[in-house]
Amino acid sequence: MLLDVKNLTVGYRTDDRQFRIAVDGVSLALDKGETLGIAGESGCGKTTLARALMAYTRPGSKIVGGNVFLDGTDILALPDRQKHAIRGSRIAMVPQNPLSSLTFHMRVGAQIDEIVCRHEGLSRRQAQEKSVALLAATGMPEPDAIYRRYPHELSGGQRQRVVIAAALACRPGILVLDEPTTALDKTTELRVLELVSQLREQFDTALVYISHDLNVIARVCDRICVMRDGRVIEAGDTRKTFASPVHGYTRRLLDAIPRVNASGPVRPLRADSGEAPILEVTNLKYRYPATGLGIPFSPKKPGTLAVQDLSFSINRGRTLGLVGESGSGKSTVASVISGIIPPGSGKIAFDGVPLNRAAPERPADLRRRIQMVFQDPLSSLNPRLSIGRILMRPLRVFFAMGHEEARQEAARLLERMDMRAELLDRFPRQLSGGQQQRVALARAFAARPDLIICDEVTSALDVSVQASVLDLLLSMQAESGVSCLFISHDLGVIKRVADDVIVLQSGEVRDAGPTSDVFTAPSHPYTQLLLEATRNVFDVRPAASDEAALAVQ
Amino acid sequence: MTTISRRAVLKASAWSAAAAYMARVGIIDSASAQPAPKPGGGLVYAVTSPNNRLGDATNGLHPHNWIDLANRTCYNALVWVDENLELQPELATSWEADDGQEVWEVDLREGVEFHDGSEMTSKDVVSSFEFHRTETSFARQIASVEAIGNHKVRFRLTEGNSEFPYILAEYHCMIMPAAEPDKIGLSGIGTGPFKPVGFDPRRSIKMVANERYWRTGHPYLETLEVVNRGGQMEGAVNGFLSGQFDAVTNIDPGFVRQFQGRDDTSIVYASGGDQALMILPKYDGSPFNDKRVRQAIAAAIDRDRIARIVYGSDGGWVGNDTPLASSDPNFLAYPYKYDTERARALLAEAGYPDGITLPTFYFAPYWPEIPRIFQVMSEMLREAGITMPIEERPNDGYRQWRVEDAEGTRKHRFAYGPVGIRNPGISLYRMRPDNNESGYWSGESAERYMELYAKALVTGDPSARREIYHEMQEIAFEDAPAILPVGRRNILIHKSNIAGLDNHPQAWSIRFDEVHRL
Amino acid sequence: MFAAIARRISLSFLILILVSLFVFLATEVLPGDALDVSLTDDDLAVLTPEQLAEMRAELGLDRPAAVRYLSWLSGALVGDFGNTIITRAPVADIIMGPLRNSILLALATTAVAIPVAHFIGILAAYWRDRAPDTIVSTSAIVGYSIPEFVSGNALILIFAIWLPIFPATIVLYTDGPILEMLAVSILPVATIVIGSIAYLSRLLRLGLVEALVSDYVERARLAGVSEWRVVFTHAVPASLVPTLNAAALYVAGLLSGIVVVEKVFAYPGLGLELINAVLKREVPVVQATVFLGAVGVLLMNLLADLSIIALDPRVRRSAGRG
Repeated sequence: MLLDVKNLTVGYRTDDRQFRIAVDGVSLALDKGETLGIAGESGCGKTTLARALMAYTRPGSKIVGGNVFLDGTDILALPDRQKHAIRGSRIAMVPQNPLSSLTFHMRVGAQIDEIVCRHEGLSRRQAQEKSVALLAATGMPEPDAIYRRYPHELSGGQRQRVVIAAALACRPGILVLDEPTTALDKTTELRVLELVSQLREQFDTALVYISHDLNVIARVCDRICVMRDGRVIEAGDTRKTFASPVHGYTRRLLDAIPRVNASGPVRPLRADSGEAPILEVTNLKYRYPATGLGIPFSPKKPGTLAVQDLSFSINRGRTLGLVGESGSGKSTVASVISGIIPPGSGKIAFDGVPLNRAAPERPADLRRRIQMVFQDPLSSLNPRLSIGRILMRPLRVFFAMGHEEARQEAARLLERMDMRAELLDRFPRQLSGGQQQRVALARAFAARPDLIICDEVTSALDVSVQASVLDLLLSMQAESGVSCLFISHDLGVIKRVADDVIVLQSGEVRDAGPTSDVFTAPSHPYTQLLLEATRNVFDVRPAASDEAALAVQ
Repeated sequence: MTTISRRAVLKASAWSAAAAYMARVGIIDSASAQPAPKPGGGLVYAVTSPNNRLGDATNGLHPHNWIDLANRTCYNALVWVDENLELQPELATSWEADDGQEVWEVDLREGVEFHDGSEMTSKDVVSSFEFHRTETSFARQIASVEAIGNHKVRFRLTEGNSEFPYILAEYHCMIMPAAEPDKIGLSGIGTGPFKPVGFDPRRSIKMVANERYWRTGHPYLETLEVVNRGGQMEGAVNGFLSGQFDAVTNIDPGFVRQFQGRDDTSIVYASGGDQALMILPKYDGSPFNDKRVRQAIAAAIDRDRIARIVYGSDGGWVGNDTPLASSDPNFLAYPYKYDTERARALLAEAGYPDGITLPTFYFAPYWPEIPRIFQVMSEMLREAGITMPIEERPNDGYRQWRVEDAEGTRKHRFAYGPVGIRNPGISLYRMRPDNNESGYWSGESAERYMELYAKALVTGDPSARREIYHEMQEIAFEDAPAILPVGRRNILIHKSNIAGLDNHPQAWSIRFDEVHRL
Repeated sequence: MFAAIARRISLSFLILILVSLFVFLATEVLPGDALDVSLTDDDLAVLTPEQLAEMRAELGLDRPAAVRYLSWLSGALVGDFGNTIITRAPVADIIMGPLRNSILLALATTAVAIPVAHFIGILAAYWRDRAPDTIVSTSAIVGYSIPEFVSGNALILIFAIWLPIFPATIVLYTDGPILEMLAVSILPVATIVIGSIAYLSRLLRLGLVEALVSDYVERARLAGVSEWRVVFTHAVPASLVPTLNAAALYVAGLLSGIVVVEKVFAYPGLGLELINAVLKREVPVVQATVFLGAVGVLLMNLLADLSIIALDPRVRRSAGRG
């Protein structure tokens, strides 16, 4: 057995000086060349487990029990010096966030060099040769040039490749990948996963792949462990587990995944009312502000074009999904409509009235009728106000309610969001992410708007929470008849909520039409690529699929 | 009295005083004289009095740009005022005036050499005073100065001034080698006991003994360094404690306590020093227009007790409500005793049978003990039914603040002012009606006072003059144009291994000729 | 990048002019002028109002404030700070020596404070919330909260009076040799260092703590990079960026510390010159001194910006763009 973990228990000290268990008696094993997926939602202890596999804990955490046998040696019992020697050479990690995992003030080449120098005692010149070769192996063109770049000069995908190259530098027997693609776009993720599979074979490395995304695990791993609250609750062959999950939690996780290509319409199509559309956007163009020296009369560089000639309309009571990867311009559209940034050229008509002023200049009633919900609820909710005050504010401003009346209405809204009225006196920080997002939704609905703009509202949430928030949104919408502009990078989510869809890439429309049409018969190759990247595990690996499906394209 | 006889008297008195002084310090051998002190060694002393004009320049050794307390190290004046405020000849040997006290002839000492070996003659004195009379406030009264031969000069004044020799002793009026007015004094050459070898007036002046010094056998010290710690008393005292300085001049009484009873330190008190002046403004509607109110205040303060409370047994002195120093030969003791009953009676007479509340009295802590003086005074006045609210103001800009535009309106504040020790010609002149320090005193008494003053200035006979001065002081006692409750004595400290360092009520007249190490 | 620096410089220039105007106005509202404070009460007791007016006219003090300011400013912009009011000495001559001495003091202080602050900051950050951190943090707060004139006088008491090792008050000439100046500056330097080290080391500690829990430090550790290299190659340079951003505050603190310490030790620098010039209402000297102080602050900030550009390639790129 290459890696044998026995009864591993890791605890940490909380801010209020209590000792909590994060990983609770986990045992698992990994053989040469095997791939093991560790799945679980945030807070289940999977990242702590990944670090503990390398005999490493963060400050404040401590391994309190168990063994980690690497080739038969318990590395937890080794002196520090030998632990250091093992890390990066025999067992290596690709950490969670490629954007922040490279030291910003060092050239990327130096950050690979130092690892090979350390473990293999190479000279600088030898190290440089080896690093360039590694960068080339990760499929990057011009590895020599990349070697000399700083991290910020690379794209997210490139940085993740650098991190992978650094992890593989000493041909470790085991590579631990901790959510390696979560921060990346779907299409980039696809390419990185391809690379991982390819390198795994090339370097003959066993993989421990940690992710909250069961889809990805299904693509990559032979075996899976499902973790919850620090324990492994289900483990086994990936296909079997997915086909017939034993544990209820696993089943719920699988059910909660929004499916792009599950058969049948996921939501009942709302009839087109035939009335004039609530929002009509014609030839919208937006250019980022020009940058200059700030010295009067000095030349300025024109800003980049974020949105080009975008036209669409949303009918009353319907939801328009706006899909695209980061940089596609989808958030710019939301900001222009809600008045956060001044409009560029083009026409925006809301209920027949032109909307070309920034939010502060719009009449109060217009501000009430267009509400916005953002990705990160914590930064959009005032941390110093109680939930009650947050919800009462629009009620008092827009409907001139008295304190008592507003409070009752706030409590009603909260209960409508499946939350207890006691939470009115809590503060945003005391709530979970899902609860915070529900409060943000409740605040938007409190204004009784005609249009809600949802910008990636579920992207920061775990799948099971995401499902419940989406359900809530749909039922609120059915109740109030509000129209919705729903922005997301996740095609599964879009499919679940949107009547119509627009696919954006680099500020241009690639595909548009009713959701069912676009998803079943995409007309543009980019839409096809997106669909491919998010295709569900259940299609890639149907129960009878063969091993070949593992090596993705 | 004839002119001749007066001249004889003057000459005689100047000479006898000089002879007595020389005997005392050992210049003239006499049977009782001590053996001459052992020469050699050096002295470093710090001066703390802030002098806003001096110590400014970086460009010269001119006496006007020196720390004032250092002038008599490098330079001499024609006359010196001794520790008892008596005139002593310095570069002059005698002086005489005409009947109007307007033309003064001064005989110069012969055989005096400047540091560079050139002889001091009347040419140098004329050249020096051509400069001083345009640049020095006290010397503006000199209309012209001319040489009569090599060792005699004649001053013509704008009007008679019987106290003119005191002006010749002022700290600005040093004798420099003759030169054009824009060059004179810049060489740093004087006739004094020391000559500068290192010079940064913001920092210190380093000097060595002048081997050509006209007082043969002096100075005893080989080197002398004057360190400028103007406004930095704490730094000066720290330097003394750490052994950097052998002496510190003009330290505040509050700093003295730590040195009392220490074997290694001597505390030297002068016979006097600056006095605190309480200005009583007399504009329309002021309570101080009534003489009885002023007298009541004067009667309701126990001056001795204030001096004792604020200064202890040694540090203070009591004057007589005029700017004249108690050590001045013309000083007349204050005739009234502390008497609250009299104060109450005067107030009742003035229409305040139930006591009076004065306007707020303002002061700035020019000296650290100033607030204490007026707190004590305010308490005392209360016993006589006088309520005097007091308020402290910052030093910075205080004078301008209290005077405001009083020159035009005569309206200014009931406030404190400092008064230095000068000769009666200057001190008694401060109570003139058109000076803010007298509170723009007016009326018959003031007129009589000024008549007497004018007479004194043209009265050559010292004893006759003294009579006049006495009468002036008596007027002030009766009319109480101002109150001067207490004065401080100048204090210097030096290490016990130093001797011959006398203190002086006019700190700039301290001489270093006799200083020697034990 | 050059454009960014050019923008900073042109802005600094504007700030300088505003500072000088502000200082001029501030000296205008002070009671009295240079003549008033140059004369003693004894002098004033014998001078008539007419004589005073005549003297004032001779010194140019009767000219309108705006005229005096503009003539000063037009000179200052070409490096001519004019003459002092009373002695007509060139201001440049008066402040040259003090300027050199203050720069010397600032450099000496910085040369001591920066390495010591680094040492302490690294110690505290690395052993965060453990004994070294607690000791350092506590003493830092204590050091920070003691005013310079108190710590300066305490040092004088201990190291000049009880143990006469250093001079209690500096008697060296303004143009004293640099090495001698440094030799007598040990206590002044120590005084400022005590005050600023607390602030600096706290700042560094904060930046380093942040860097030490960063993703890139964790990645380096998990790759087996030695702890020494992790701290000194990865974390410390990264922690300098936020520290340098706060450099403006440090420089301001340094300047105020220098003024106080120069007064306490009678160090012949610009601070002492400034205090005396304010008391004397020598407006040209006050102006020139404050002007130079402002130039110093702006230069130091420019230097900090340049160091950030050198340390942080991200800024380098955005500065190049913007």
